[in-house]
Amino acid sequence: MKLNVDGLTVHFPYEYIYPEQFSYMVELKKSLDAKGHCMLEMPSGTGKTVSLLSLIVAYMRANPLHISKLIYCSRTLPEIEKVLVELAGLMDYYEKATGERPKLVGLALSARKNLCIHPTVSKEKEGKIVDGRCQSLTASHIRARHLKDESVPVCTYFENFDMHGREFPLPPGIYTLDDLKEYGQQKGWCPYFVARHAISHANIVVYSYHYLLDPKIADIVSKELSKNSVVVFDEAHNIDNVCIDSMSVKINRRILDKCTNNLQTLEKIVEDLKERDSKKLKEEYQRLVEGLKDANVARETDIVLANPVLPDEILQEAVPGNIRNAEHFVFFMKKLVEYIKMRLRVQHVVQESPAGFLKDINGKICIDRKPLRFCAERLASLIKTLEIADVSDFSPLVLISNFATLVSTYTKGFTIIIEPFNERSPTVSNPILHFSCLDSSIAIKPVFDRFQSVVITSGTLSPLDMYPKILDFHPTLMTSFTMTLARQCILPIVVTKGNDQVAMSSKYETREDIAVIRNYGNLLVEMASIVPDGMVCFFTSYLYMENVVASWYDQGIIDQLLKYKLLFIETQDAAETSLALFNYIKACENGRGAVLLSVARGKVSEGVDFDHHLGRAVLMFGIPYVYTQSKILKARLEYLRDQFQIKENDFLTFDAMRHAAQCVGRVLRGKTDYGIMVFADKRFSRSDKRNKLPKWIQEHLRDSFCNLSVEECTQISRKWLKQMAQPFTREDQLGISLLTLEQLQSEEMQKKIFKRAQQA
Amino acid sequence: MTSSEDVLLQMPNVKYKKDDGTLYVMSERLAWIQGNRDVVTLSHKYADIKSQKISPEGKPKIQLQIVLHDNSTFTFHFVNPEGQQGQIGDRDQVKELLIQLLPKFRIKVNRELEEKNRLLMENPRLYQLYRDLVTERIVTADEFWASHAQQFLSSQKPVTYQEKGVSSGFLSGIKPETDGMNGIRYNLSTDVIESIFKTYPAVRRKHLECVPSQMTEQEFWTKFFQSHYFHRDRLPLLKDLFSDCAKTDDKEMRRELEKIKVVGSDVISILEDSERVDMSASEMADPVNPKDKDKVTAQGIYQNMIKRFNQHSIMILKACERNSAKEGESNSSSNSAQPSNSATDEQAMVNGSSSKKKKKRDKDKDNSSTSAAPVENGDSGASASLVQPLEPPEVKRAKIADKLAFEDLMSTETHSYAQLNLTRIDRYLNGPVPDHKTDVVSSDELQRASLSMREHVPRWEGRPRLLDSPNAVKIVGELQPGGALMKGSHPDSVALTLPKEVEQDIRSMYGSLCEVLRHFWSCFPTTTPALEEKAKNSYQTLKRFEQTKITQLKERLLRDHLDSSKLLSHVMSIIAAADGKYNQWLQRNNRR
Repeated sequence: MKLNVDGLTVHFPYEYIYPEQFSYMVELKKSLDAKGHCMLEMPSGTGKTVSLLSLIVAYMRANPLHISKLIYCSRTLPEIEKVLVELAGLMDYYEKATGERPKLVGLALSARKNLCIHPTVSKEKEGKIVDGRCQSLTASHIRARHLKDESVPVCTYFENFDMHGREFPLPPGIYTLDDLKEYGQQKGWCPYFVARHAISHANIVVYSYHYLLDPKIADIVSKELSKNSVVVFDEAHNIDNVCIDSMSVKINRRILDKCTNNLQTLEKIVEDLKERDSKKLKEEYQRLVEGLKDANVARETDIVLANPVLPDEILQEAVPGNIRNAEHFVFFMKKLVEYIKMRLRVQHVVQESPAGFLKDINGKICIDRKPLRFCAERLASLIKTLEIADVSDFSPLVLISNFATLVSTYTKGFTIIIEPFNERSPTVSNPILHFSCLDSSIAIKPVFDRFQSVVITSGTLSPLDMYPKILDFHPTLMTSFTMTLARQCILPIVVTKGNDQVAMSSKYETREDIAVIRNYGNLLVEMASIVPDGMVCFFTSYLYMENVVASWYDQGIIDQLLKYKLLFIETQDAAETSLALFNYIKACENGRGAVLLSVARGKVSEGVDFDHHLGRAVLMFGIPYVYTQSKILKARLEYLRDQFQIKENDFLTFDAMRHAAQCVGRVLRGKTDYGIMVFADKRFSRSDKRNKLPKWIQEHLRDSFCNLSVEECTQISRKWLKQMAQPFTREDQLGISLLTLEQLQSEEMQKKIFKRAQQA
Repeated sequence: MTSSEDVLLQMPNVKYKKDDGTLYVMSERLAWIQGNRDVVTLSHKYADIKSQKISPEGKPKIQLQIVLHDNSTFTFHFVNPEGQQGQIGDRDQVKELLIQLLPKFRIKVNRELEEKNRLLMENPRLYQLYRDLVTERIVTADEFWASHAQQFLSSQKPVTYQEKGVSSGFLSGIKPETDGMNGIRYNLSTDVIESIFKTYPAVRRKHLECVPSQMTEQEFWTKFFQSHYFHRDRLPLLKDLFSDCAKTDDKEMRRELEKIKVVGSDVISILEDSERVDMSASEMADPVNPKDKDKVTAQGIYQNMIKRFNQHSIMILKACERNSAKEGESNSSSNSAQPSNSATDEQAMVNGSSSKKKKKRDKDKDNSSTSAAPVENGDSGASASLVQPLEPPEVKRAKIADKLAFEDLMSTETHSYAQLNLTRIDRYLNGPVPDHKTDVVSSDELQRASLSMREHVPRWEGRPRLLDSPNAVKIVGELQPGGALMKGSHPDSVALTLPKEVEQDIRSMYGSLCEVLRHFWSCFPTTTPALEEKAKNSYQTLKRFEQTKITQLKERLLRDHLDSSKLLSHVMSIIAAADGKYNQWLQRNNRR
């Protein structure tokens, strides 16, 4: 249908529309008009993606000068594929409605592993190996050698692309990864580099968060994107963690050992080269004296070695003298590695600031800050000079050099924590150095600064006011949309006590209490006996889940449970979990029914949808607080308190509740779906927790459902399930949660939508 | 020997009713021949044998008794001159063989019986016929199934026998009880054993290997319940009968994993790769130390236990799948015209199951040869061949699009009409066109016809009117039962007054009679001797039917409802017709 959103004509590829989709578009348009950032929360399953794409594409077509590009960041590969298919659908609709396809180029970008069509390289399974082998075929020196000597293998796809592909822009259309591959096959060009090349002129780019947020990658891939682009972060509820992860480094003994090996190899190669061709090393030395600028020459293919977030002015400077010489540099790195090794030999936890670290390293082994800063760049240069094509072997060394550069560049917002052992097994010595970013705004700051509109959206962003604080930006708009429903298709319940009136809670003092565990078990068994098909349960941690399952086994609860449904459990082993999940789905599909025990913050809670029969109920056993004893977390909390005036407790609750919302949100993926959400912890009924749930859950959580026992819970659920099982047709929804164009345009509805926007 | 069956075992020195003789265990029957005679004195098909019993230990007579389905028993006494030991040996030999043989036939018999039973339950008419004909001993059961119910049997699909599934909670059914003497007793039912075997093929294999040869049934299950395999929270002991069962399970799981990776569920891809862009090795994955896995910590046990729970559930699912795999195969081949999506799914499933079967066979072979190398080969071969069928991009895209589409947002009109393929569209549009050559209608004729038509139309109304409509309605009313015009004629008033059950009886009798008659008439004309024979037979059946059923009914009607014997006049007339035909035929036959 053709919509009029605040004066803009939007082609929406469906015959009907949800009211909240319209509101979403209205709000989004406002923020685009204002050239500002915005945060929009809308429940999953209400068509966020399609609303977003429809509006932005319409906006781009109407004001091509205002917005030239849409950068859509998503988290997983399947998500990326979904966005592109949705986009292709939109284009089809445009063609149908207007008679011509919009001349837009939309494409996905992913790692080489997903795009490679080289006959042998693409057979590799691991991303890193594909990268390495690709580079060994496409690096500039290899290609140079190939010119002289035909027997040196190169990748014909890349050669073809380099010869012809650059002049031809990608013809308009939407390219999924498979389409890119097909296009590459057709033309004989490398799809990866076609995509890399095309993102500079494409209108819509869909890729992973990392391409924008990880400074090491963003610098190369996303550097030339124009300022008047719209950046969308979908499923952005964990964006702060992504930011932090992209800037943090973990170093353990094994990495250091490998580093030592790397350095030895490097040393040997340097010596070899010195004997054979000392000219080259001299040339490099000269180059370094002149500056780093020409390091950019063959960057496009050698991206692996790009440096992390070096401020531009440093790039202009020359590499300091003491690491210009290759041998000196190797020696320098050796010293550094030995120093870190020494630091790892600790008996107790050490925490210090980067400044302290720099002072210490200066005092102990006389390494200045300045050469440290150039470590990454210098290593890149050396590896290039030595013509080491496959860099994947040197990844530990690259890691260390990155660490050195980061630690000497940033003195604020980071901390160094050295732990002598893993907290789960305090007897085994396994020292780790965490170089941890505490400030999620560091990584995302360039994005906010560079692009005119950044849209942060997800199904669960509540409480909204926390994100601007921790990401340090000023949104022009923050809105949370609820879901208009013709029937109450979610049933949030807070169960606080068992039938024996013992309070249920996963708080530290009571969580090992046998009565609490038993009550959790009873709740699960009771629910399993009334809920059809699939049920998902979330625990607060793997450790707790294992303990609970063990005592359930002793108490015979597992046996009872097995009478009703099959039992599957998430483990830390991804392969095992996927097997369990696969069979869980099978069991739900063949009607036997199953229970999946899983962990909040685990992979299942983040990525897997349990729509319709795959999840009719979700049980949240306890509040998924993060492990509070972790040193890194403590440091971060402290930092947040000092820098952003966020109370520790506020942040912890915020973090726990967003994960809880994320978990229970798995169960509802659309308006025709329905599911029970059981919050099994006394503390959920408190207003400070309840108010942090997303609005679309909160508005269905009645006061009378906030303090229930197991028995009451099953009673309510049973009744509700019967209601939900009644047939539900479009007619029931029409006019309330589903609108035709006429209904949408009616004055009354416009008023309603406007009113709702006001409320939000 | 009369039959040419294989003799599996020949056991001399067996007494039956105090006569010496030889017991033969053959491939399909158990036979006993007295002394040195040539005639088989006693012969029973295994299918007829319900069970066998043996004399309790310690009794002086070593005997074996077989019980047939009709509860008649036959007792064989083993009198090996070598003494009791030899006699027991003989007996056990026979027993073991029978243990193996009987179940095979029992399943077959049961299956047939079940099938017949089901047929009767599903077809009330057939059931009525069966009651009328078989229970009244008009025809024998075999004859009935052979002739009268043929079409039912044949119209049914080749015996679809549904196996019993496995309850997910079957292990919880095994509850230990104290026996009062500081011991624990587990009660096992055959169902539970069956479930265990189905779910854990490894245990079944173990059972087959060990039970008669190395330990008794009881010992086996005792060991089973003591093992960590059963108690999932116990530590794996080194010397445990079932430790290798766990290992094969693990192997099986790994294989499963390979398989689902090939099937390529989206869900899995979410878990496996969360789009890490490993441009630089910013994160060094820390693979779990292999040592850690075996480490015996409390946590280790829990993790092991959780793994076992998952395995248990997966095994149960698989056990059920094995049952339905066959059906799935036949389904997918017959419903090839399904929408592509589900068809591919099913295909995948079928592929999966068939490959699984193959693998299992491979494995069985390997086990027997107990060499490790072929396992590796088989695996790699299988995985290599399985890697190829990754879904093509179109399918993948369709799948994603399917998932994405908001059904309730789309317009209602779905255009899923079947396409009409026309070779000549004009024919479809114009319909059959009269052959112009044979009857050409000239324009004159047409005009004339239309003119005469026009002439006739005005006169149409002037038709003579016989009745006006109120009168007509009245008359129709009078013609209804009870109306004035219907007085004096009530041919079926008797029928109307009959009680329900009598009516029902008559009705069912009619049905059965018609069936019998159908068979009778279908024999004519008698072109082959077989048909003649059949005609005779069916005539006899008819007569018997008449004698038992119809006369009985007639008498009852006479007794209870005096003048209702008229009701059977039609019955009598059709029987008389059959009589006439038969007599006529007989005469003609005799004359010839």
